[in-house]
Amino acid sequence: MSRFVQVVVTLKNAVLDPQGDATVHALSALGFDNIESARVGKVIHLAFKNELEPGQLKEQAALMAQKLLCNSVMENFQIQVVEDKAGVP
Amino acid sequence: MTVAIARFLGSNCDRDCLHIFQEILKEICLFVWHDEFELPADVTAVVIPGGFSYGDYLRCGAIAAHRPLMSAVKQFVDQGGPVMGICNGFQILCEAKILPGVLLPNRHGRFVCNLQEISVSQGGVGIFKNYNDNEKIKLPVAHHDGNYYADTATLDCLEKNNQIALRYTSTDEQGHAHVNGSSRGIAGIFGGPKNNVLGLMPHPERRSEHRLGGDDGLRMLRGLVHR
Repeated sequence: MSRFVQVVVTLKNAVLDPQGDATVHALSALGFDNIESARVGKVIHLAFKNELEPGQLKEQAALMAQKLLCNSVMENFQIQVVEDKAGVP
Repeated sequence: MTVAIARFLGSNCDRDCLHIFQEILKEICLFVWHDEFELPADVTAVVIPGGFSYGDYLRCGAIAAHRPLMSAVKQFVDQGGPVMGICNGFQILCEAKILPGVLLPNRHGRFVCNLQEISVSQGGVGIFKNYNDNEKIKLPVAHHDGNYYADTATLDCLEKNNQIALRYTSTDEQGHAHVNGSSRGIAGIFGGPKNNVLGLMPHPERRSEHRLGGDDGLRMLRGLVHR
């Protein structure tokens, strides 16, 4: 049982990521010139009000991702049940 | 004719639109608040104005797309009612799945605010009845997320069904608009059962008076109410 879920939203491979490209340039300027690419996504930590079985948490979070948290035209999502709201697995 | 202008938290071109419809086009015009479940019965056209609804949180237009008013707009669209989404309004229509595709951040990563030459596809019919086909007009843009994106199948489908409404004339060799990276130079698309929905990134309401530089945009606002 847990009440914490982490939803990771990433851009699909086919979608250009100007934020990621700018990050590569900035890293390179700092001397980190061995980076080929960077992709910037987002992590949404959800704290449910009640504890639930991991399966139920995942199912509900998936519905939320499909409806609002992720736009399937350009993004994919992954869901992980975690131990606390900081996202420790 | 009664034009409803949708207002979300963070809409900021609502009064500009009201001014043009009311003072220039002399139409009856009213604001509709985002938590309304129905449009007033006498509404004959809906405008979703530009702005930064809900601070562009999550994705531009994502939160507005799920407000009760958008269910009413969806119904209005399904009945063939004319709807125009300008800038953030276009983003909201895409997020609400009333129009296909999505508006990504501009390819160069910068906010753009300038005048663009735009070609009117499908001139002479519907909302564009007051333009010649492929007429070149100038409209201002002001956005950070105007890079229209959809998969190839969707883009082909848009072309085939004459749903590409407006294109930036300045594109690179892959057809991406220089101004924001938009696929196939797309600045606006039609949707809805009768191509009765127009979503566009440029601001026609900001170019609807000669004293403000021109009135290229006025004809499409007029076309929305008198198709």
